[in-house]
Amino acid sequence: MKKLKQCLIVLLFVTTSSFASAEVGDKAISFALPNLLSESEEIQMKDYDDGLVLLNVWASWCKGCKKEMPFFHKLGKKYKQDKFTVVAINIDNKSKKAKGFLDKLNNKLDEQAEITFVYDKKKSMPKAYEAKAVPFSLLIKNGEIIKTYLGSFDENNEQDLIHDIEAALK
Amino acid sequence: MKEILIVLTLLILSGCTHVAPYEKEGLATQKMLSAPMTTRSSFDSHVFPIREGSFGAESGFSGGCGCK
Repeated sequence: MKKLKQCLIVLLFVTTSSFASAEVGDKAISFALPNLLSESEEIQMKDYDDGLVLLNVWASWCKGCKKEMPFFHKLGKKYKQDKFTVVAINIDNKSKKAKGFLDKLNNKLDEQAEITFVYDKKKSMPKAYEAKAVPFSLLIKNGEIIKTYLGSFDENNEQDLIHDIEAALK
Repeated sequence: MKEILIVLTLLILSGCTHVAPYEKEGLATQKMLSAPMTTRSSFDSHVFPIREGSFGAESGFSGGCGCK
């Protein structure tokens, strides 16, 4: 009885750390979420089952997330013909702030960002993937995760992502 | 008695919770900064080391009276 009590106490301290986060080789988690810019339009993961997708989770309150958006735009534009898409899932509590940031981004780029923006108010995707950081990104080929990235991209690791995309497109 | 203490301790500990990175929107606001007023923070960073006698604890510090 005493041992059982001790086990129960230990179990109480074992938290969600036992859940595994996204790993290479896992199937991408399906979703059906509204388009951030046109909420009547629904975007689903299965729309990208036969292509290469960079799935990125971002928020307008995250500086690193905002900083890497112009880079994602460049990638989306460069590899558009190769069935490559950047799907950026926004997790703000209110979509207004994210839309405000996108307006500024489009003005800065002088064109519409070549990124598909999805709105996940309930944060279901980072929860499902057990995200260990924001931003985080997954490279998904034909519905399977082929690479995971924690944190934002900068001049030090942008080339790594380009290399991974080009390797996956071969 | 021992059981009550364990339950109470666990109840108190339940107030400590892990905040997932994707749930930190409230913590990422300006008002959560230790020095939320940017104009004041440069003044504070000049005065604080002098007042606390903690020279060099922050970034570079060149000494002085803290009056400039």
